[in-house]
Amino acid sequence: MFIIAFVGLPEFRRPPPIVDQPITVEVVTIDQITNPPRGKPEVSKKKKPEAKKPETRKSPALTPAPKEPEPKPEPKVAALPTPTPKTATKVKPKDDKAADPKRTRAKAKPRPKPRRKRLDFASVLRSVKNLDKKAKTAPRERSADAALKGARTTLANRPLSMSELDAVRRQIARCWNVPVGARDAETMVVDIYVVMNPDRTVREARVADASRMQRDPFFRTMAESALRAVLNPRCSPLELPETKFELWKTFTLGFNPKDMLGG
Amino acid sequence: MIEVSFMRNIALGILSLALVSLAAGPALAELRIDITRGVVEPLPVAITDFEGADDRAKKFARDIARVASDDLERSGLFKPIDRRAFINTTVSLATQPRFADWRLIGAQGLVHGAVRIKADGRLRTEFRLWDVLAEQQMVGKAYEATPQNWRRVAHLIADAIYKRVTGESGYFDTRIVYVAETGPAVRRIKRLAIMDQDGANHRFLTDGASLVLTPRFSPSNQEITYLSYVGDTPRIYLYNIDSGRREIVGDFPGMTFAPRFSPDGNKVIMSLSTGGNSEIYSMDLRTRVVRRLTNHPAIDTSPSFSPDGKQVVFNSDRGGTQQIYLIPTTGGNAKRISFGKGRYATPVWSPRGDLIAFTRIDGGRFFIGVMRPDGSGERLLAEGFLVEGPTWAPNGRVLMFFRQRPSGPRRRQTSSRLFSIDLTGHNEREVATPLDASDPAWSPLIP
Repeated sequence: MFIIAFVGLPEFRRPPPIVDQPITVEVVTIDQITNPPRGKPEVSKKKKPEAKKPETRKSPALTPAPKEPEPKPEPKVAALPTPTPKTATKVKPKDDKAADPKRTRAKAKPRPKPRRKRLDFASVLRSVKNLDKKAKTAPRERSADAALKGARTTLANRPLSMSELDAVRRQIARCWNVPVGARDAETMVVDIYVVMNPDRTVREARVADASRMQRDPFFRTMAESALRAVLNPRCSPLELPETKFELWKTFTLGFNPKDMLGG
Repeated sequence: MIEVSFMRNIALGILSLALVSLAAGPALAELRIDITRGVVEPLPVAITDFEGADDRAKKFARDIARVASDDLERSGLFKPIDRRAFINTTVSLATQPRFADWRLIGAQGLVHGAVRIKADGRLRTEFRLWDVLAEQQMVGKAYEATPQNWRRVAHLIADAIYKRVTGESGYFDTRIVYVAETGPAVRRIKRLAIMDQDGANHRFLTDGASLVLTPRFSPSNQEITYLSYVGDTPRIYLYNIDSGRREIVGDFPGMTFAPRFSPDGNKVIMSLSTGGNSEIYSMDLRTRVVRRLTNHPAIDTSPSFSPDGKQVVFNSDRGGTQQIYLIPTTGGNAKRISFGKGRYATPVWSPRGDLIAFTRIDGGRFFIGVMRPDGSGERLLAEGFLVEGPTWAPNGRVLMFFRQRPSGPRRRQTSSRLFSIDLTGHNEREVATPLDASDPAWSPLIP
């Protein structure tokens, strides 16, 4: 007790020697920082629809003349990596106004192609499959987003984030046909143990409490509806991040309709 | 003071080590995702045409499949897929179907069967229900019956499928008895009628010479109890459907109303009105011994037994307005369970035991609702100008009631039709009857 008090209380008598940085250890199993899945263009579409157009107009300046705008886009290029994906679109409108006359040169045709790139910095990785079309811009893109890409890989090492789990939850909830009229449905919880394939399809799904299936017909009904939700081709493959296969190789799904049955 | 800083460092090290181990712990734990919402949709099921060896068997096969499919569709829990969408129609009972073909059209269940006419003329019907997603058989049964009973075979098949999927017994092999009404509002002719729950095999039981009201089915026998006016006196009758025998239940001084059977079918509970006071009596049909349950100057009527036979729910205005009360079968204190605005009437205890259905009248509108036996969880399922008389299907999942609406050229007449609704409040459907209908009563599963 005294040792804890001695150790825990700050020393007032003399300033402590500054030897090391204070260790801040944040214990989060699931990311509190949302880590939205890559390549969801509609997400950023909703966020900043009006800012999108000035963005896309900027990039044609990069595509046709990689040499010429080198001094000019530098301020813009610098602007790109520094903000986080969310605030990037906010910073852009300021630059757009300055470089407006150049924007008018950009026609509608080149716009759709770069639009796919510009919508979400994460979609840079996705656009790799259109590499032949964007061969010219690829190096430019990478230099522009190099810092951000670096940030992307570190983000991938985190555990599954809330948004990723929510995506799976929403997806399975769409396929789960709840037997709402069943007796005592609101108190029933069914655990399904799932083994996944790397391509995000379900390899095996089984009910955790299999013996109860024989004894309790209502449990069997709920369990079978849960199994059908998991095996439904409409919900396959699951929206899980492919790079984190080790994290979701096996998991347990707990089905409980309490949010639907107000009772 | 080097040792102070040394100790501080040690403490910091221990603390950080503890925290790091804590941080490592959850990462090793099993990932668990909780799903607490879903959708409520009918189960898509593919019901193929059953096989038949010859033309006559094929006709039975088609009809049986169609009646079973209609039953399942009407329950609101199944959605038979249109036959035109089937990719692979060659299914046989002997081999496993190609589940991938059925998954493609979105089926989650597959029903196939075969009908054979045996040498003695009886019909032998077999069917199987497969789980398309889990690729397993769920249920397979065979039935033998006379050709006239082919409809019952179809209903039994639908019951078996329903029971396997929902875990509760089905309600398709049942009958509805109700009061068929014809004539103008001032001279209504009311006749007892009985039909299958899907409207087939309809016939009249009485001729309409005397007024009949509130028919009720016995839960164990093929008997109906109902109220009929002989002259000006209402009397309770017992009618055996199979034999056609009719008898008067006891001879009471006064008027008797609202008869209902006990769950074992041996007692009839009713309200008896003498000298302006209405009380609840139960009579044992075997011994004809009458017992009085309530003793109160207020009007006590519409009694209904609980499925375990221990309690009776009834309607009383002892509290000032018509409300619902519970009383033990052996008599005792009545407990009020309805507390909403308006008046409550016709309480009926569900055969499943978990709900009581009732009629509620509030602000000139009528509602059919359910509540738990302790009075909580009240939900209103249907509303109308006049809706009344809920009756439960034998599995306690579906309610039937009647609705009166103004009709006719100047809305002077009323038309009265039967409706069924699921206890979740979904799937309200009109029940097809040849004439106007009221006071439905649902039979138990036909043995």
